[in-house]
Amino acid sequence: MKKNNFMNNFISYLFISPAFLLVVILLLIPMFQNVYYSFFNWDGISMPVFNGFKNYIAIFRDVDFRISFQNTLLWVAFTLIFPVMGGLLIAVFLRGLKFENFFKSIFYIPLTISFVATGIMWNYMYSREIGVINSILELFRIDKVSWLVNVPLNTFSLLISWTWQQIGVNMVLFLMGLSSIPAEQTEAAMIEGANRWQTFIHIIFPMLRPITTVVIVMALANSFKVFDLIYVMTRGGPYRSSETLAMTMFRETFTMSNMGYGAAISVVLSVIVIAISAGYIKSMLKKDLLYY
Amino acid sequence: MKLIFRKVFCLFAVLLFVLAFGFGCKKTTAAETTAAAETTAAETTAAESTTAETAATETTKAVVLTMMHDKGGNPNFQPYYELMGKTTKDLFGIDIEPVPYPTTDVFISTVRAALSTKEAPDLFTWWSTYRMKDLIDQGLLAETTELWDKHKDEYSQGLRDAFTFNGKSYGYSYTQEYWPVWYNKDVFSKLNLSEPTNWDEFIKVCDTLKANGITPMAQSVQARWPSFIMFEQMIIGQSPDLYDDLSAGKVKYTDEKVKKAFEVWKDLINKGYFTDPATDLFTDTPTLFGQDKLGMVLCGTWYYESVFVANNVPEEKIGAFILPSHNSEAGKCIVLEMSPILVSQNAPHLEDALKVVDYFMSAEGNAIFAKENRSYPSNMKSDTSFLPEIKVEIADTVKNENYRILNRYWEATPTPICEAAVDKFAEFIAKPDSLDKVLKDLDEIANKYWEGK
Repeated sequence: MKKNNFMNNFISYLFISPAFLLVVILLLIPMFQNVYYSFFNWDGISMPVFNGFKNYIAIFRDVDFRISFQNTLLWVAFTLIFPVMGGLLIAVFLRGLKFENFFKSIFYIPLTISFVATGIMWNYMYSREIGVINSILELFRIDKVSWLVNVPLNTFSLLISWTWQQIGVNMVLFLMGLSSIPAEQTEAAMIEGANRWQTFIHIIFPMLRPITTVVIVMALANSFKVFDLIYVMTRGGPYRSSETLAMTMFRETFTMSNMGYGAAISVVLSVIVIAISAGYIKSMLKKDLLYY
Repeated sequence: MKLIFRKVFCLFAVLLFVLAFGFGCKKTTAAETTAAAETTAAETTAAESTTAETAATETTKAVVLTMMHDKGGNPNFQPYYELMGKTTKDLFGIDIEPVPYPTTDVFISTVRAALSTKEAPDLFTWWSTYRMKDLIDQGLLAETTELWDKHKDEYSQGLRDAFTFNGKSYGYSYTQEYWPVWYNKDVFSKLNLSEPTNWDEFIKVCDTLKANGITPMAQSVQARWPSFIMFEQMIIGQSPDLYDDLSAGKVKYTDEKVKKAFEVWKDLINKGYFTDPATDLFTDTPTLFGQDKLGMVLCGTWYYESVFVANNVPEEKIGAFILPSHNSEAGKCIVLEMSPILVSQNAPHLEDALKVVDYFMSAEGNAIFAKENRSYPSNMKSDTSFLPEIKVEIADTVKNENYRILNRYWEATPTPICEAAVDKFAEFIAKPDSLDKVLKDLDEIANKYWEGK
């Protein structure tokens, strides 16, 4: 019996070993290495010089980091309002519609396009001289707009492109959540005299909490680490005005070759994302326990 | 029974995965993989085969040099590099495999990370002067002094200086480019404009173009680096010595003369002589030029072939002149961009890499890339019959009128200053009224670097 247990355990460990190895080699070791290098002054080719907490102190004195942090918060807030709430609204209104599948596909298609392709496409659309958006504005005799150069308009232009791509995935997740709500409960509420709004607020929305938690945590993490779209469309510019923390980390590490400073920014970014996500999940779990 | 069979099967599958992962972690080049496969085959099938036979097999195998570069998009030099490899393969049995990187910063960081390892590229494109310096300081570049000595009669001393530190030379220049103003001949002819020979004439050209609804000059902050184009031209136009001193940290950015040059630039911006800074230099600009909505573009001579011609702008539409200095005392000056290919000190095939560099430095070898891109070979004795007339005229003007040649800002000033400064120039372009703040910030950036030296 004991031998059997040992064999079962051994086989189980063997099965998880590939995944475990991948996580250790590709995630944990680089992560610890990153924390280690954040205490050094290093240009990537010479010998690293230990400088204690200087990189962390420099972060809080850096004006560009402050702008980058503000932009990141704007991205998070915008993502929670538009892609998340927009996704929920679309899911609610689409459900039961005559051409539901067709509309679902329309909203989902942008997600199948890579961030780079999305960035290039929107870049052309925003082009001041040859972009379709300015051409439409011209029809109405409105002056051309520099969508990606005017500050802070450039950040909002990026956010619109981001929303265009992200809204589909949230819609799909909320649709999954909606389909798991038993029809009896909403029907009972309707029979009791609740209108559609009251049914949504008091029955549907609370029952969507598990999926809402997933959507919000994903949205938080994605908006904190957003990089590719900004890199393709503005490179964080002009004059670093549209940088977010991930972009600043990339710039310091790979453009400026300040490996230690870049590593310190990534540590700060990770701590923020983990703290906010963990705090949110914890509060949701508490509410769920109270609810049930 | 069935269960045991399933367990054994799964066990094998997992082991196979772990083994495959282990092998996958060891990154090998195609040549090494082939060599390893050949070695294994030799070990298992021919115990009797001698060491001498194996060595003979290896000598007949073509050597493949890896060459990393960032010019696989805009501009796209990949086919030209491939041709260089084909030539050396035919001549010496040494092939070159160009590996393009999509963006310059990704390319730079990859090369820097690879140079100190066994995976260092044999060859890689780079930038001259200050861009090479930290690699040299860390001993990551192979010296090519002997090759420069061998070809000393074929290269100008000024060019060699940009590749020489502490008496030692590194890499070589596979092409060089001047930075003139490209103008739209159709538009100029329609508005009876001629090539300006002094600053006042240039301003008149701009005024006429603007009055006729055509944007006079292209200016861009997209992709960051183009923001230094007008900056360097304005400083050089003020004084070429000032430009050299500013690049070398001998003059402050808040210096009155520097400010004066910025004021001239500010005036041009405020008069509406430039395209919107969001205009992309590689996509929007050739389109506007081709549609006769843009009069002039200040850019390197590579722009002619790899941007204008590549974007179907008719060659007969393109004219060129050298921008006159706004300060007449500055004299006649033009910016020169050198294009180095460097050799890694840790190159897996160092000897072969130096052999091909020797060939590419020769009059014949140096013309291969230049001919394809219709650009200037760096070797003074190389054939230039393939150059379009417009480029011949630019080179003749530079030579006959004794233009002072200055290194491009990208290479002429230390990289940490340049990388931060381009964002400050962009800030100035977008907000010309922020001039004082920009100059103060530039000073801080420069001071931080020079004080650390």
